[in-house]
Amino acid sequence: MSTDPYHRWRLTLFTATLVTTALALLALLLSGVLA
Amino acid sequence: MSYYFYEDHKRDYDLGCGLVFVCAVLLAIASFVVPALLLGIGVFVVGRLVVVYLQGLRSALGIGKGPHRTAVVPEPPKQHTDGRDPAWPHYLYGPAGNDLRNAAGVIWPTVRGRVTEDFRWLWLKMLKPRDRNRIFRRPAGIVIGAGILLGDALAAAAIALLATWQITIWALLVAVGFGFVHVLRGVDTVLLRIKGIRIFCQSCHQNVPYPVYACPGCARKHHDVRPGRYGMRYRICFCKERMPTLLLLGSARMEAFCTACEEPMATNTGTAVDSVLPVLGSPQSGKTRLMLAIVMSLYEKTSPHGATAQFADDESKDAYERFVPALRNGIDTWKTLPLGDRPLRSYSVYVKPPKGRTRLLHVFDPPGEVVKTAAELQSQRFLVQARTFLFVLDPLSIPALWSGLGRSEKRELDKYRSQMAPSAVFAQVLNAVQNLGVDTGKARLAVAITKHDLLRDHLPAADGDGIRDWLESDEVGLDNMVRSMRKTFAEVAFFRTSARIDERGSLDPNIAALTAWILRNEGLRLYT
Repeated sequence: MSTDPYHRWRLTLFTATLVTTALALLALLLSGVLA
Repeated sequence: MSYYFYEDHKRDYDLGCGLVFVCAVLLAIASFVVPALLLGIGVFVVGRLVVVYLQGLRSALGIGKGPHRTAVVPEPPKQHTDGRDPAWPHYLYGPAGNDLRNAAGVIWPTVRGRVTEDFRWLWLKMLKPRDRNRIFRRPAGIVIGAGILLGDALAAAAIALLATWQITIWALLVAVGFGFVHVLRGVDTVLLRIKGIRIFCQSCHQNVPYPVYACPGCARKHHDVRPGRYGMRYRICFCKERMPTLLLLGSARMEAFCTACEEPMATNTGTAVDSVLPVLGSPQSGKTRLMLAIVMSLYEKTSPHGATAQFADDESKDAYERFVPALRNGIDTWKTLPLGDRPLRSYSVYVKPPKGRTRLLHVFDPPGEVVKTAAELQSQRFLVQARTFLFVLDPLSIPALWSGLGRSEKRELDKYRSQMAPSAVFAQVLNAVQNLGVDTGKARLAVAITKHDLLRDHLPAADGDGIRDWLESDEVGLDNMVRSMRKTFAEVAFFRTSARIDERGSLDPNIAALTAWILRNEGLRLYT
């Protein structure tokens, strides 16, 4: 395993931030376009 | 004259048109170009600062290529100290908060530095120089500065939103994590309750909430592996080895120790319902030989009841392998020695019936001296856990029977004889068991008349009720004891046993009958 015992959790937190932000932006864009 | 007049008017007209054109251009710049420029610069600044934020976050979380500026994770203690186990705390129980604080510490100076750099560039390159182009550069600088200001304001809002979102994600994960921990613990507890499994220590005779487990990698002891501060489904030991946190998740595969006395517990403890079987009797009544014979009948698969056994710990296996040759060769077994203040450890075996679930049987063989005093007998805490008792009765110790033997027989058998009268031993046992709070009205008693091979001519040929009648007869005179047994216990059964192995290497069939009776009453489904 990685020497960092929290690597997977850190990656999860970072990915979750990125993915959810991207999704929120996409939703915002789509709602603007549809409106 | 008129020509000059015309020329003057034409120049004025041209000048006017030029001014109108310049005004139109300026108006166009003011209306479209400046806002477009402002917006473009603003979007660029926002994008750049958000990227700076994400890069800072990536670096603070140690993701991707370096350089990393991760938070320093404090090393756990090397051994269990002050209620702390030698395990890395779970990410959501501390390190995640540290990471967020560290990320703020990494990101804020970087963002602030980038903003300061932008304004320094604006001042030095656009506003400060006093050359001949300043008439164009300064207005452009003001427009760019306004764009940067707009971008910074928007970026501050975007970053605040991102940071809030990130903290929300973290808080959600923590909430879900806490919930998951409690669900896991609850499910494990409920399953143990439903199955009727308790964690019983065969050394100190206490039921403990959960065993202490040794790490499979480094043997460091973890005092409470259940989901919580150090992990949900598994925890990470100091040595980075993963350890399952619950019996449900396979923690039974690890080496277990008692929380109270730290002695080793049975292997796979917590996976089977356990039964406690105290073997009680006077010194030299044949308790140890009988216990070995019972274990032998299970372990060596010689019995018709179909149950088989496996040793639950190395101590039990070692003791069996050390002393069974004595049983086979017909020589005396060892005398069980009093242990002083140390509690008695059981011989523990996993008994697998032909049908149904395996059960963990703890057989306690206290030294006969224990029954001599009520106080010592009452200190045997395993008695509280028992629902079936095995009372070992040496027929040679029955006064009426002994006095009826011939002189030569007495001389020959005296060395095998227990000196305490059975009725006195039973009275002592009963007194202790009741004083310990055992509800004997719900308990069962097996009475084993041992040394049948030595007194073949003096014992009745019949089993069960025949033996009971014989004990109650005037010839033996133990009617009061039998009456007391039948009155106190929910069920009493009598067996005539011998722990001697015959020429063919077979055990006395009554051993199997006695074992089957005990196991059946403990809920095991057997053939016979």
